[in-house]
Amino acid sequence: MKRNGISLIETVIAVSASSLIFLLTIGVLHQTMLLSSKAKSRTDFHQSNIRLAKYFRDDVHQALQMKLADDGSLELTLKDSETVTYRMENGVGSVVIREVKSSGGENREQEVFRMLDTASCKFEIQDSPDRVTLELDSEIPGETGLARVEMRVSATANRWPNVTAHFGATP
Amino acid sequence: MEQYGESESCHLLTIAKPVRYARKRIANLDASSPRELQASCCTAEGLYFCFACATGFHFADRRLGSLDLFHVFWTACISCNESILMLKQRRAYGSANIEVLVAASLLIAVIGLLSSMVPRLGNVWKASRNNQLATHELANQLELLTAIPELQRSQALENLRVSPDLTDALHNAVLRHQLLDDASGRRIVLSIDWERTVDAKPISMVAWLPSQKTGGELRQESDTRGTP
Repeated sequence: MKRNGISLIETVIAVSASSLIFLLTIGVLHQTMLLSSKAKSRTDFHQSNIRLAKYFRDDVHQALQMKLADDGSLELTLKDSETVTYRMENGVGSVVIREVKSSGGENREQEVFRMLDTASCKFEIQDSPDRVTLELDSEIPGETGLARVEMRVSATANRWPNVTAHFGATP
Repeated sequence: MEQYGESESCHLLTIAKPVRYARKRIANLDASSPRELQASCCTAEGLYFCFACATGFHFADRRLGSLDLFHVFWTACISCNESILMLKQRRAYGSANIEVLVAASLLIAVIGLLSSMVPRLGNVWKASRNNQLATHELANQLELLTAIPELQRSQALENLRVSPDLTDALHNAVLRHQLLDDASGRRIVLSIDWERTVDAKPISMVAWLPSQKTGGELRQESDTRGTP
């Protein structure tokens, strides 16, 4: 006997399989977008860290005086009373800001280093020899309250007092 | 003639088409045409015209197989008994179960691959972070070693150890040093190695020291190598 149309069981199987495929596709898409976002954020953070470490070392090497402010920011005094300030701001995203001011308090440069949202930044001044350490921590994903070290840079102050005169201003 | 959209290979017309057109078409056929004929786009069983006798035959359901979008049927003209091969268009709506299953299998395979990639990606990021930490640690240690006086430096080299903050990230990290004084200059070669999931060379960095003979200006150059 010739049968036209499709049976109920075929319809149920087709609908179930289609639903499964749809759900799996949505899952894959979501996961891919999430991974892409994480990878981009991670790459930005990595690049920022490299830039920040370079600026930080250069500034501290030229610093004649170092001071930690109450809000946790670091102020470096260079020659000609120029000051460089490093501070962290947590707004829409976490950033570390480097500001260069002339002796008259006029803003000369500002650099922004994008961090992970859960990142925190702390400075520590040590002596013998005079040096300052910058430590960047971030919260371990999925484990609230636990932090891991992302970067730890230590530089000695007034390291090459004569080098800047020879090579010119640092970038 | 073209108003019905018939192709030249279609020699049979259904009764749904005008009979006058069908008879005209059959009359114009070449006498040397093959005895086995093909018809396309036959949509249903019914009466078809045979151009051999121009009287018509009844399309019987004798299915031979399927070709892509067509079912192949064989029938014979009830008037002249001519054998006729027919192609009936398949009515394929939606997708077959087997197609759905194949799609699901492929998707599951892709998800499986992606799922196995996620932990690997995490490991790559972790390794990259650890490498950066190790490189900075070497730079930090060399910075201190080249800034302190000679006597303190010897003591510091004896007590060389990784910063306590990094012991969690760099498992069982070991710092090794080498003091060299040759034609390339007086220098410290510092290397760091730690437990990694894959075999990799230690990371090394070099710092030049002021010459003891000349007491020249401090110079530091660094170089990383052996990064996995």
